[in-house]
Amino acid sequence: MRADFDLVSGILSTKIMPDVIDYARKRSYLVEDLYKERANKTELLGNFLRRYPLVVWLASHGFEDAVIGPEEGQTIADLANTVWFNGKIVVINACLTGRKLAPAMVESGAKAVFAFVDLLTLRVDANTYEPLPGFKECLTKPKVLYDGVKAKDAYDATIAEYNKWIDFWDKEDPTTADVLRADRDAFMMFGTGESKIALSTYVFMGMTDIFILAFIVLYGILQSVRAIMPLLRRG
Amino acid sequence: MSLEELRKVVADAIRRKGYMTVLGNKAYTAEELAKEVEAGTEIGNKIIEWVVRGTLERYSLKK
Repeated sequence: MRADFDLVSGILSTKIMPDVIDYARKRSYLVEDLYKERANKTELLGNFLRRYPLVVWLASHGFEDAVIGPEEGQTIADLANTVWFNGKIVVINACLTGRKLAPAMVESGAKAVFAFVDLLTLRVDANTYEPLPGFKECLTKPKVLYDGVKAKDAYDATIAEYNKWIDFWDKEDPTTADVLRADRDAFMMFGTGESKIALSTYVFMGMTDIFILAFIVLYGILQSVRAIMPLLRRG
Repeated sequence: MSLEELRKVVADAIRRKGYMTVLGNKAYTAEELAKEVEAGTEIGNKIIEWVVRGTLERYSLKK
């Protein structure tokens, strides 16, 4: 889910999240990209009912108890719909949501939730809005979940990525390193660290369409045979 | 070094690099963020807090 209604949500949605989408697609995952006006509760619930997403990424503005979208003043995830995330791994790239929303999601059955307990901070080029080296890499690091990595290992890999870039920026510009440090310290994992994408579940969910298609074709053939058989008997 | 001097040093460092900082729900130009730091606003104090924490971590790693 990528809300895009102002400069900040636009940077998250267009400069950061495409990297995650590419990563998942290259590994043959079916990605449902709820972008801009599609980043709303109706679309989200519809997708949760139609499919069974294993990993859900939410990128937008956030408060302690909500993620904002598709517009300011509206929410796509809040304390009222945490149960929708039951059984899923959730990554929230938004401010403060680790304080109330993420624990509430876990309480409602989410397997694991990655979220920030403080402000999420980015440094970008003033002209192009491209994130400075390291920011995108750290924010998107939980994408290793798509390689079948456990949630706790994805969390550890993300912290290691932060430390790598903090080391880099300590030499280049310590203020930028300190911003990354604040992000690293605010980044938390809630829920079960043993959670991971189960291949069997994914294959089954991915095959759902094929099962439905096969059922429709076979049912059609059966109905045709039923209709034709009496005619053949008469002949 | 006094707090005022620290604020000035940090504000100058932010101006010198010229990066835009997305902090919370707002994007600050280098000049805007430097002014927040100098004025000692909530955001400015947060930056100072991060700088102090960062300096302590750098110092502890060097030891």
